[in-house]
Amino acid sequence: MPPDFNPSYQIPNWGWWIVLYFFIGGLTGGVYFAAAWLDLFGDLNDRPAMRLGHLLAFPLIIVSAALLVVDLGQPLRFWHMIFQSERFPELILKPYSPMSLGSAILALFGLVSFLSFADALFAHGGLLHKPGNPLGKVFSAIGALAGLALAGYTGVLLGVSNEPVWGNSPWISALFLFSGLSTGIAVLLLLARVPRTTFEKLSEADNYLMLFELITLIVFLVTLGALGTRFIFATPTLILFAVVIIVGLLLPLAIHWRPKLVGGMRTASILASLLVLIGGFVLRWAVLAAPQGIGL
Amino acid sequence: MRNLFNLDVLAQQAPQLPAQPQVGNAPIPGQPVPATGTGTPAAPVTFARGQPVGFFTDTTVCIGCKACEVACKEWNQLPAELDPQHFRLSGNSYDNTMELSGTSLRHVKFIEQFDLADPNRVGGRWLMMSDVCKHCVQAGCLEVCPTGAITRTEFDTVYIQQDVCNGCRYCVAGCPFGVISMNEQGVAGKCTFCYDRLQAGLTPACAQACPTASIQFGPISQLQQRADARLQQLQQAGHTQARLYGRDEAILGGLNSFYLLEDTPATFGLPEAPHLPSRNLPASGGLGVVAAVLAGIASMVAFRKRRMDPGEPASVGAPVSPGPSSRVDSAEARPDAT
Repeated sequence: MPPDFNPSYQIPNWGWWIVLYFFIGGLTGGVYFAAAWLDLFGDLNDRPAMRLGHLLAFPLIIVSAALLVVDLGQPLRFWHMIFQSERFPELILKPYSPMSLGSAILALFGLVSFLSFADALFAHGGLLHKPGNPLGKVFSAIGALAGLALAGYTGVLLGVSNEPVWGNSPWISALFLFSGLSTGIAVLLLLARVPRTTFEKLSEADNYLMLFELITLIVFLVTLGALGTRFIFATPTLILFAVVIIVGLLLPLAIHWRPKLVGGMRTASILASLLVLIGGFVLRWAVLAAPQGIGL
Repeated sequence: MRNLFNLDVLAQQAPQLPAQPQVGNAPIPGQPVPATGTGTPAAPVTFARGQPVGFFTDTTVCIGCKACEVACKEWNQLPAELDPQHFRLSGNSYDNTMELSGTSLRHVKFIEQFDLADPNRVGGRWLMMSDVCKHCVQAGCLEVCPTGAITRTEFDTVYIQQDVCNGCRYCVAGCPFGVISMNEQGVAGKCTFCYDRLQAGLTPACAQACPTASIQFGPISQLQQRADARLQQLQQAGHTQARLYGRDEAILGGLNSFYLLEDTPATFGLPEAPHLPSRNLPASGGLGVVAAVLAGIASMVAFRKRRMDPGEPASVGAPVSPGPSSRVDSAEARPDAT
């Protein structure tokens, strides 16, 4: 049964800053998640990739937060998201508001990723995340959960609204989560000089995530029913979704499957990772454009 | 029973107002307040702090004079629509602003149902409705607002604190009626229910100005009785399509600004079954959790595998060194290098 369509709505004008934030924020969560998972389930060969993840995650979350602040109508009041403005420094947390929860997730992620960043930068990953350090494992577990939440909460945020498409599908959270993790791993594959074993692990995980994302995206589009026709299939937004599916998912999967078609393994890895990143960005654009228009 | 959504949370967040001395004719908290004007043919309105008040808008007597729009602009010192997106005349209607905005907190809708092919325009009708924030008992905007800028007042109305809002615009996406927009200060704007006037025991400006009593103000319970009587009167007169919209709890726990319509809600551009944005939270959050578990398991399976083909190069990827620490990591990471 097609979901109900709310006829009276105003668009929030979440434009390019938010498209970028959704993309970089998801990617950041994915980078830290992959680093943490390598710490928890990988071996010593994986530690360069883990350390690179720790070096990247904190600067990226700063960029993400800056994008959010710039987008506000009153940027100097950004701290109202975390603190009660009338009762500083009392905190504010509204469980029914994914944006409030997201602010808390950003703060938690910022703290965890900062400590991992400092460990990677100043102790070369040999203090907090020293091999066998149980505290580091606990930290990685917390950071991985925060990374997952960071990658997925933006989809929940869109779902918890009364906008057409966003408020009519529960699948955006899963879609953004898979995409965020996939793009995070793509960044590691693109930038890290890793042993072949680590490369294969990351590539395999990325393949799984891209497959999940592809399935979720198809389910998302199909279950929109008539609403999908009105807001996606009969609009230029359809082109964006086509780019996501073909360029951002099918091509990288094909390249990972047959790397020799585009040259050596290294060339294939770089190309596939770039395509995944393009797909991740266009996905955020497409979803945000559905009720707001392709020009945002 | 009317449920004040999130009341406990709000009560904890709301600043404790100091006791205020009575000044002039200012009302004493908890005491009935005589209103200075009603704008209605009914008895003078009295209301007290803590008592839910609202608007009952009888669209059948609206004449589209827009006195409510003007009164709202004047009392709240709101500018004209200078935003290029809004500064326009529709060109095909007596409806000028076409919609509510951050600086047009009242908007008289003109629903013009005429056969344009008929030069005499016989058989058409003109429906008018003064639209405004519905001050929902279960308010979507209040629910999603991350800063606590949107609060419920002691009169059960929904109010945006302009000095707290930071312009994130989530309330715009959360409102099921498309009421909220951004104003020129970069914060969210909507009907304040003339909170300042209520505190002084005054009728909101729009209701005060309405010449036909289309907009009626008063305690909700009184308005409901009045609305029921009017509906009965209309139905007895043969207006079988007449109905009340938002009078009871079926719509978001009740609307503190509710309507008498003479046709379907869709005719007036109102959603038939508006719902809170949080209705999606369990499904959306749940699927996110399932996806996280799935991704975690798949990645764990991939990361636990140990494969090394001696015939392949030991490392791949961009020629970017992970940094000075790779001295240790590299030695650990590359068995073939030791």
